[in-house]
Amino acid sequence: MPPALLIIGKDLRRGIRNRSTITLAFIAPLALGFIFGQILGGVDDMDERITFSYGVVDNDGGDLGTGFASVLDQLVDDGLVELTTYTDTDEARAAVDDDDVSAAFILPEGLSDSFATASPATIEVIGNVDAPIATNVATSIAETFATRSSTAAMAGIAAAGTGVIPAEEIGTVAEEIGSSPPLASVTTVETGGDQLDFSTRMVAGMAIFFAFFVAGAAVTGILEERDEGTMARLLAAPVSRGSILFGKVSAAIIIGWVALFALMVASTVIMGADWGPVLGVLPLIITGVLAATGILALVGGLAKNAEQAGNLQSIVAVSMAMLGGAFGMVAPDPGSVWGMIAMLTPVHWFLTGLDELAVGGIAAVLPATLAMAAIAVVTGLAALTFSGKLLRP
Amino acid sequence: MGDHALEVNNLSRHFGELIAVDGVSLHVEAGETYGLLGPNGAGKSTAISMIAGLLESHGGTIRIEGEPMTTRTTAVRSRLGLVPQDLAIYPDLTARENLRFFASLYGMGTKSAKARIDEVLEVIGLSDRADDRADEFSGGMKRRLNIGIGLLHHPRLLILDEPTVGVDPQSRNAILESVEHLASEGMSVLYTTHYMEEAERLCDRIGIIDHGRLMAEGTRRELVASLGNQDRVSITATGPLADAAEAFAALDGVAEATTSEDTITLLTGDATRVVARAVETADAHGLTVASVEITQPDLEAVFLHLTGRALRD
Repeated sequence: MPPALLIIGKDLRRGIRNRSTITLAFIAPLALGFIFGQILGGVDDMDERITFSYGVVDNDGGDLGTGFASVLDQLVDDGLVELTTYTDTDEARAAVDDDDVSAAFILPEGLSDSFATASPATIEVIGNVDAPIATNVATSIAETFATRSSTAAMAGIAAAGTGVIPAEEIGTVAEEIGSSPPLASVTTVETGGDQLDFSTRMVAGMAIFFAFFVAGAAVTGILEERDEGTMARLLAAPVSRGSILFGKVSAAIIIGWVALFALMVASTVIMGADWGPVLGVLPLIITGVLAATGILALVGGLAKNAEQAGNLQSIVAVSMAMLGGAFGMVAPDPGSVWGMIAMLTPVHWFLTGLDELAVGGIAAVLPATLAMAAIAVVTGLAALTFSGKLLRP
Repeated sequence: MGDHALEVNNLSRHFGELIAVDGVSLHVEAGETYGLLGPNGAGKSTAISMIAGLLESHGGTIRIEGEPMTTRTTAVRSRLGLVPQDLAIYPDLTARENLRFFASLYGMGTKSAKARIDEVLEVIGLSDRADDRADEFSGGMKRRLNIGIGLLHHPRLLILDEPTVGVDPQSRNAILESVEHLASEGMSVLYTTHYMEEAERLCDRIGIIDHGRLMAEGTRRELVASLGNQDRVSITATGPLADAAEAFAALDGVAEATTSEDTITLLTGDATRVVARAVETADAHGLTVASVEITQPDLEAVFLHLTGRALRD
């Protein structure tokens, strides 16, 4: 049997026996992906919306009070607010104190008149100290209404000043402007239709992140042979240095491939993850591990021993995982410096490839596959310059 | 040339400014056990690393049974067995798995490897622990496994680099017996050590190495004879030792007198004739003698004579 295959076989045997390899390659990514998916995935679940409970007292009784009530009714219709109407301020304050509502809006007497004449008036918000978020939201609602109403009043005054309308119609015009729909609005659109589902993305991110640690064994394994003294024996044997290097690196790559593939299968079966068609995922797994191996071989080549290499590789793996979005983080803007750096990471391309696979079919993974293959070739060739330094007793 | 198991000519290696091996030439005859004796840092392990093809030399040639050996040659390595100074075994593999892996690496077939592994386990006394993981072994057992791997493929030349360092007396004796057994079977052995008694017990010829240079070589008898059969008289005393040195050197029968901080060492053909007059001389020069020691010549004395310092300095 060729010496390289013997070395691969020996390393695979040791890898299987080594609990830390099993933990790094299979258990940790699966467990963390599952946990993160459960914790962070809840943000996407909008079935159970947050509802604020508010009270309102209309001491004004005019058009503006009615307008404010219509704003609140809209929020009630949207399911964001539960509204209770109170007859006076004391009753509303008591309701807030008793936690019946989180906050109460008090519309003052003469609010509509002051609006028509552009005189100062105050909408009071009584908040519950134990419900700061609900109070802040209530304050924002009141401020938004007040700002819009003031703008409308200013528009009416401006119209009268330029002779467009008579002065006695300022209030009417302002009320019409205030109650009209806004010219522009911000709408939150949920994304997700063209990407992996969140749980799958978390597991895939964890898988490629931990693949870095497994692939790092390509160099740490060589340094460990030196630390264990066995490198001297390998070098003294009738085996070329190229065979030793090929055997050591191949073993790490094979473990990385098997780990990622097993994670794909396990997360699909156990967690219901959907990585996409296997034929599309395989090229991403193959080139993703190769790219991670190349990068970590380059970094590990700078180290003097296995421990130092492990530390350096951890820093690089975590940095690349963060930049590439492995931890569920929002990827940097592609036009920014960080965005461009992120595009140098296999993590970015691996997840992008899976995203593309989710909507574009198997052929859509080609750009990501080629990008990772290029990273693997460039870093792998650069790492070869360290082989002479690594392959010594 | 082809008759020599190993022939080294003018071998050199430096690390920056430090010259680790400086023009070493030696040869090991077929079936001979050659000892490379020197203190720590003398250049033994560096020389061994070059001879085993692990480290590139900066000068000189190495031939194993006439075939050149460099870091790039591979075929000739199958004639060589190496037992490195540090343990070189896989701790998470069993003794048998360790042996099987290296047997395969040396191209041994499955059947012949199995028989040879059993044989080697017997030689190193680990037959009953063959299927235990190496990390469960005692230090001595690990050392024996370390040696077993080196001799697994029937090497023509076995290189042992200080194999008894850090080993308990019982395991040490077992290792020395193993080497004696291999030598009796006709295996050529290159053995490095800084233990004089090991070199005296095992080696047919001995090379004394210090500061990277081979100071002398020969059989034990030849090396000791090179001292002129001189006994050594060491007088430990207080007082003006340096002033008295000339008087000691002038004593009849004294070939050489050297002084150190509190000791005068006299080399003589017959210590019993000299010792009485040496004590008188010390007394005459106002020295207070604390002790007198007479030593018959041995390799330690040879080393001291050649280098001016003790082997374990």
